[in-house]
Amino acid sequence: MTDIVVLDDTTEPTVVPGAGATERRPLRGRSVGRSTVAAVLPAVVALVAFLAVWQFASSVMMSPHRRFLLPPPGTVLRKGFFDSTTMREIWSSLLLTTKLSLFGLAVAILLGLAVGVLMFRFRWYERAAYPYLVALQAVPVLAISPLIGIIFGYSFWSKSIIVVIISFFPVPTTLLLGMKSVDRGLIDLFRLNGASWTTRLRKLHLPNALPSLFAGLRISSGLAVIGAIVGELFFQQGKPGLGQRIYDYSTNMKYPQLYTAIIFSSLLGVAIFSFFGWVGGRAVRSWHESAAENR
Amino acid sequence: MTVTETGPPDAERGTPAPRPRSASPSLAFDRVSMVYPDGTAALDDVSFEVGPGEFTTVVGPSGCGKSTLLRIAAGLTKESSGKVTVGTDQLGFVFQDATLLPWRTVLGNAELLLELHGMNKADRRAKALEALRSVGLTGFERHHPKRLSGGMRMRVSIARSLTLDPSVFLFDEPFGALDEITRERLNEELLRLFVDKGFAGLFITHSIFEAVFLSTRVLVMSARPGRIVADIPVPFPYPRPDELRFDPRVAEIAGQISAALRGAH
Repeated sequence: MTDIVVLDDTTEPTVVPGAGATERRPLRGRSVGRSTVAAVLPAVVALVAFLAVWQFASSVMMSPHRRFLLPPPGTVLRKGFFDSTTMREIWSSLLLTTKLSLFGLAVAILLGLAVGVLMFRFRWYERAAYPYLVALQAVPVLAISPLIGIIFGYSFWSKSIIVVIISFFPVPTTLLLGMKSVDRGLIDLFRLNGASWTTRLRKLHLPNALPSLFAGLRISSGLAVIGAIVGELFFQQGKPGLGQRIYDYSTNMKYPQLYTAIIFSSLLGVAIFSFFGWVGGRAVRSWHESAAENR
Repeated sequence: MTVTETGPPDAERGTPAPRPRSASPSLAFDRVSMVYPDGTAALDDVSFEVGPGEFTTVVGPSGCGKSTLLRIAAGLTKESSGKVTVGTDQLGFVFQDATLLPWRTVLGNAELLLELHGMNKADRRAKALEALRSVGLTGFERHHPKRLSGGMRMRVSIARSLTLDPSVFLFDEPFGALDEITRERLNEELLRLFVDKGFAGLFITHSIFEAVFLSTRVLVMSARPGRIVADIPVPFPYPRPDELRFDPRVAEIAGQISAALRGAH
């Protein structure tokens, strides 16, 4: 009907939506450029400040005969980042640790999704499983590592189990929370129109859970890297991952190399964390408020 | 848009209300009572009928069981006693909130119900586009709900129900959260749709003037447990001009409703 003039308080400057979108594009591009600088600059300043404090602590506060414990940034760069032998060791370890983290994380996510959906479907299952999820989460993983070693051997599988145990908890809990926080009217609407439980799950509860699930996945991804390093530190078997490198460098007093390995460990965590943040943002940014802020 | 099987024949369009009642009502409540498991009595011995092409509005104080009445009509809540007859399997239900899926576009939301009923993509898209046009949302198909105003979201919600061609349309205070200006405009659009499609309407509101302006008949409910204390006909023909709002006869009927509401407390 052309006789209706839409005059509601929409954000569109004009009734023709296409025109509004094209008019705004250049403006948005400029503001993103400026806001990127605004977003990155504080982090860069903080890094420089951190390096300055490090340098100061190493060269002024440490006595010369103890300086090897905290080598200045320059030494770490020279003997670590710019040393081809060290970097070869670290790259190969990084690859192994990445594989371990991603494998364990994938298992944790698949298991977590299944457990989350089951808890959502069966109230008794939620009541049965939830206390043990919390218990699993609360268990100090190093305390049960020997047990895992005894049962599963000192292998890739044992390390993977550590990763799964550490990174599992946020997946089912954030999924469950998201699936449960569906507007009651929407549930009524689906019921009124004869939607089956699986249809409601697919078209209502799962999409509704995406924002909180992705928040959970980000937490899990950071934890997975921690789990991998802990697993490698404890099970000193097989090809050396970053965890073993950290242990070896520390026992051999190769401190610049140790710092390098630690920095790469955290970079791996940041990379996986950012990846999930990026995927999550892309998945929900068109409709969810939180996504725009997290970019 | 096809006229639904229980709608009035075309010849009756624009005739003075109340319209001729056919033998079988679109919706009938027969001595319906509702007591919730916790002992709250929501409805007490409610009986009324809504004929095809009739627009019945229920007004009553907050918490008097109006929404319960509508949920029972839709089959979402089971009545404790009495009998509810719905003369159609195609019900439209418009909720207090727009209840849109935020991750879907306007078009995706408008297609939802037909999708749930298993209609193929091409057909449901055509119906959704037609319904969106009838509520004046052409050009907004690709927008997500968060970019729309409250009034536009409610239009999407109404369009979504229109895709089913419902012969009985239930409205649960759909415009209660909107500002006066938007509400008036949506009232006018709803009247136009009512005249166009000829559905039977059951509308819940706590706005007396909205009730008079829209309806062929206004039922007044008492405070909880809700009983029907007055059944007031509104004898103005459709289509109704906007100026009708300011007609002294409207004020007079509004006065009767207001008195009935006061008497019910």
